Amino acid sequence: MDIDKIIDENKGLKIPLIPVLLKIQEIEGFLSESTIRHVSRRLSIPLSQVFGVATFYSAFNLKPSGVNKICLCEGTACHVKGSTRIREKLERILGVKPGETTKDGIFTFTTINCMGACAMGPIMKIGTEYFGKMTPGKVDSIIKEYISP
Amino acid sequence: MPFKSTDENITGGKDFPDLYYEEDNLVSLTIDRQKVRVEKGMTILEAARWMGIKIPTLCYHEGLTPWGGCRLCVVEVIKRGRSKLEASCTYPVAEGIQVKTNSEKVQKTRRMIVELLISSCPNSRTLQDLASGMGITEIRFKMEDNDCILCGLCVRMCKEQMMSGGIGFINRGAKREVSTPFHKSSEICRGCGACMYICPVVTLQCRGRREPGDLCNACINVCPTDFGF
Repeated sequence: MDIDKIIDENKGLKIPLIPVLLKIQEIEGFLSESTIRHVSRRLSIPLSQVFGVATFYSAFNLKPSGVNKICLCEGTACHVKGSTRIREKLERILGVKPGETTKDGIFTFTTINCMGACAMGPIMKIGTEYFGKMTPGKVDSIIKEYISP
Repeated sequence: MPFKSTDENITGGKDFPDLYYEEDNLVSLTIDRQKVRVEKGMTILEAARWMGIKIPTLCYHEGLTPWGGCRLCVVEVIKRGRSKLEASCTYPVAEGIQVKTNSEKVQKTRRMIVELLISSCPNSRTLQDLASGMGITEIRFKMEDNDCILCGLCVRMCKEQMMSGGIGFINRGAKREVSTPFHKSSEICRGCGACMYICPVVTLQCRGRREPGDLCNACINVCPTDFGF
């Protein structure tokens, strides 16, 4: 089983929990309840602690996410440059609020507090691709590309 | 016995057998203008309590690892001429530092902390007593009615003393709370009740005459023995 392999590889680390959870999430896309229970048992860390770590960091998600992860920056610089309007536009097109996944499972829409690329603001990220200097007008065409590849 | 006064006149220099203090293991510092030498690795809180100085605490317990969550034990640490507020329960003693446990700045900070805590959990007797003890007569914040100050005592008690780990902190920021994993009843909880026993908020309810969700102050001018605790 993949999870067991990951755990065995990282068992020697001083604090193996976070690397293990990150790698599992890379493969499975999210952390299911059974996965978390399994990790807790294999690493002999209390379940409450594993669950605490998984809920603490925003890098972990406990719900299955869509194929494409849309991440919109709502930091100070992006906010000033109008990221609110882009968020409204995205909400309207996708029909979901930040933190939710569309019904067809293609997009997960999240917001972030700063991406660290304020000069490119307002900035949006889909998967690993960055879209800087966003305008509400650009949103349509970008989303369309991802719906019909 | 980690304590030795530097004043040779008090101890006579020979009061404690040599066995008890090895010179290499001692650190000298000043707490409230008193020079002391204490063992390395102690925290300021432990050193001050050893000397008989009272520092209020909420999230500290002798049997549990220091947490530094409530910040009620703040003291002023003066190091190289710079004064800084530090949580004494997690700050290890260091050579040559000067500590003020009850300066004006410290008192002001503590009062603010108690005010903030009471505004979230006004029903706790521990907190109401602290407020009365510090002479707080007004809360400047919006009163809420929670039953947790996130001191983490129950979480540490469960994990460290009861060897269970059934409860833990989940989420973070404003959503942070103490709960069981997945909000389901825990399989490893034995129902020992240690978490309830140690909790400073839910076990001791303030029974003074007051409006619900308000500052009590019933004990502020009363001798504790008269009040019938």
